[in-house]
Amino acid sequence: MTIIHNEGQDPIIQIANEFTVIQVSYTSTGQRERLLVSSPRLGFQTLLDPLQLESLTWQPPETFSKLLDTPYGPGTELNARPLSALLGKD
Amino acid sequence: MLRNELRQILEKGLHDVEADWTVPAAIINDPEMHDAERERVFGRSWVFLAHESEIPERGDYVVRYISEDQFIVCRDEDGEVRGHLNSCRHRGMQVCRAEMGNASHFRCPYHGWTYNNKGSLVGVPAGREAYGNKLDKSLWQLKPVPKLDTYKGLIFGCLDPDAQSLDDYLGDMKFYLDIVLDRSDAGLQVVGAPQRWVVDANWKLGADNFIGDAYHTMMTHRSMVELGLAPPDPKFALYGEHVHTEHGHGLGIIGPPPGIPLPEFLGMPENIVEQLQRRLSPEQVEVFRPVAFIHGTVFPNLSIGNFLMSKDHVSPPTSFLTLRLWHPLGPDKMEIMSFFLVEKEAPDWYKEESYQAYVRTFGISGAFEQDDAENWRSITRVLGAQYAKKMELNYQMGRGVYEPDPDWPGPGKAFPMDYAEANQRNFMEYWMQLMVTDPAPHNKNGKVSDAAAAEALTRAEA
Ligand code: FES
Ligand SMILES: [Fe+2]
Repeated sequence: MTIIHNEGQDPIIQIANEFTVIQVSYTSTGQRERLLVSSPRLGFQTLLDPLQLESLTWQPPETFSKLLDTPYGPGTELNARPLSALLGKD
Repeated sequence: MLRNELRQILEKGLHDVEADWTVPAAIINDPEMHDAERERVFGRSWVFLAHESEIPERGDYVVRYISEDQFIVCRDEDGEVRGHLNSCRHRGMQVCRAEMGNASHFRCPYHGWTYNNKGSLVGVPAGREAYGNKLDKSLWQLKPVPKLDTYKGLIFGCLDPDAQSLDDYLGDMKFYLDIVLDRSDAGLQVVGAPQRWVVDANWKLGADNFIGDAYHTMMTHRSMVELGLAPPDPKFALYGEHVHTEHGHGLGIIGPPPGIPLPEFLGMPENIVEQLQRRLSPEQVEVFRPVAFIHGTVFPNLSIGNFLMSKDHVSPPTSFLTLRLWHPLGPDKMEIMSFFLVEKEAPDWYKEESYQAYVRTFGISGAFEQDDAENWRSITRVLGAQYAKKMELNYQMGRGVYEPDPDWPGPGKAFPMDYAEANQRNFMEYWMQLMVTDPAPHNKNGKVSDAAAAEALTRAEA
């Protein structure tokens, strides 16, 4: 674990293993208190409130396996088309 | 198939080891021997992978080897110990490139196939676009170690799905292993990661040295006696018992030299001595009471050293326990992995003293360790040459001197005194038997049939 201190901001906790790096920090705006979990390599982030965090505590390992069904993020509904469809159209 | 020439060397070797107590030098450093050995010895033996205390928490893993195959040995999210081939089912990439870590999931660095630590494939990037979601993930889990089992905290794997059980394989050696592995209620812990280094030597020389070579200490480690780090009698390693069991295992158990008082039970801390007297059988306690050194090898490549030694010339001796793995990298190269273990419940002062005694004697830069490696390098280099390969090596120590000891309270074949080579002959004989036994024929499903495997084993043990 590494703790990253940026002046004037809350510290960021960073944990990593062989497979990825993740950062966690605390954010608050007035009433709202959340944990910001972000993936600097993939560019995703999520803000989790206490109830969401609580729900994590009873998830079996399989839930997380399911979440990793798409290991690089959700991807979007692409309208995939082959390069051949673009050829000869100028 | 074994080339004829190799088969002849081995068959003659098998005859000679019984009749003349010699061993062909060609088994040490020859590329073809080594190729055959990978399949015939490492492909069928139970090989030590890790100690359970190295992966205490869910998700902990280490990467370990059986010959060239590498396995992720991990504790899954349910706490069960598993071993997965470290090779992605897509193109075979190493899934895990760190030698140790903690992960609930492993993500292949090539295309990103992702496995949980039970080995199931759970994620495939662009699964919809690339596979139309039609890839049946349940068919593509990481390959497990064909057989995985543990004995008193030691995790072993075997590549032969039809091999005998680990329990049967260890057989009578368990009586002696228990003395080392099972003497305290909470058991042992490996401290730190194993020390690892590569030596230009054949792995069998390490196994041979630990299984029975008390004799070399007088010459190779003489400087230790001169420095006051080993007992003053240079023949200190003679005063013991030399024991071997089936399947190539063996050990030497050495007591104090005459007239030199040494503490009982390797001078272990009081609380451990109290526990071991309760845990071990009366015969095991009797064997362990006067011990100063235990050196042994579990066939093929796991050795044990439980030694009473001083960390310097003024400190009193402290015992320590090391396991070492002679991992073959080629006919003339091995990686040594040296583990330091200590009873979890031992007091802190003992853990510290014990660790220091280990580091300074049998750690990577330890004095004993360096003395030994230099001999093994030189032997390997010399025996790799054409003319030298044709020699027979002399395994005749103790011939006509010692008869099996009828008074020994433990199992196995025991000889009085530790200057003998019965253990080494037993090791080499079993190794050569495995080498001349052809792998069991495969049936149509590509699986070894049980009957064929059983037959091969009987032949190997005949
Ligand atoms: S080799 Fe592992 S995902 Fe392709
Ligand atoms: Fe030695």
